[in-house]
Amino acid sequence: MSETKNLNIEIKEEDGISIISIRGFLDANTAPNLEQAVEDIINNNKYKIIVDFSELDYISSAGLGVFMSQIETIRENNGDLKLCRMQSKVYSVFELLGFPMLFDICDEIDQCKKKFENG
Amino acid sequence: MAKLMDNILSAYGDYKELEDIRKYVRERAENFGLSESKVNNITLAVDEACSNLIHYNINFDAKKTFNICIVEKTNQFSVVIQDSGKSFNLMRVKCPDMNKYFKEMKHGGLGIHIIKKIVDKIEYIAATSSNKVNTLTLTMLK
Repeated sequence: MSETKNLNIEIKEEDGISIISIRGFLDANTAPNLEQAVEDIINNNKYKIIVDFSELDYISSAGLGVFMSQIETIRENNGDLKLCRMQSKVYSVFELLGFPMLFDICDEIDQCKKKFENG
Repeated sequence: MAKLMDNILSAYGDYKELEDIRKYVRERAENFGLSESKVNNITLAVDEACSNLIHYNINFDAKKTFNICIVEKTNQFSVVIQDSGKSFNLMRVKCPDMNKYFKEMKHGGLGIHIIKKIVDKIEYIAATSSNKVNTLTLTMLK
């Protein structure tokens, strides 16, 4: 678990998938912490990642940038970064710039898992 | 830590200030009576503008400060951000083609695009030799 004043990050493994749960605020101040957490997973050669946003209250472009910065490496290694359980105010920031075109954004973690199972 | 005095919030050139800035703007926008989505949007826009300012205008110099002031009129809510760093007119920045952006897996540079998409009115006055303050005004209509 990693925690700054405004962002809590918890990581667990289920069925060969790394699940990152984030809580708090993802902005320019806290985004480097999440970026490091994702990098650590990738450095362990794990490329199937789900991010659970259910307790994330806020995201800015710096937060969006974390996912953009890692997605190429992840997909080059036959993995994916799937996102789920966003509050509507967080989803609206993703939607604003068309991010649902690039990322699977699901209502529930199980839906993300099924998408991994189905390739 | 950001300080509020005479309706002006003074913040340092450090990303840690963003949370206090957002809290201040959100509270004032809610009290003014903007809709929930407009409150979220002006808060996000100010965060993006201040993140850019801290990075590019004052280059993370935590000794330098910039000011945030709210101006309320009958049907418009404005956030005025003033700094004495390098001038940077975000209105001159071209917004990316998002299809190309995603295709090329780019990252970064989306803050200004967000501001332009969600704010009703943007004004920028660059510092001059007689007035050494840059002023960015982000306005939401009620």
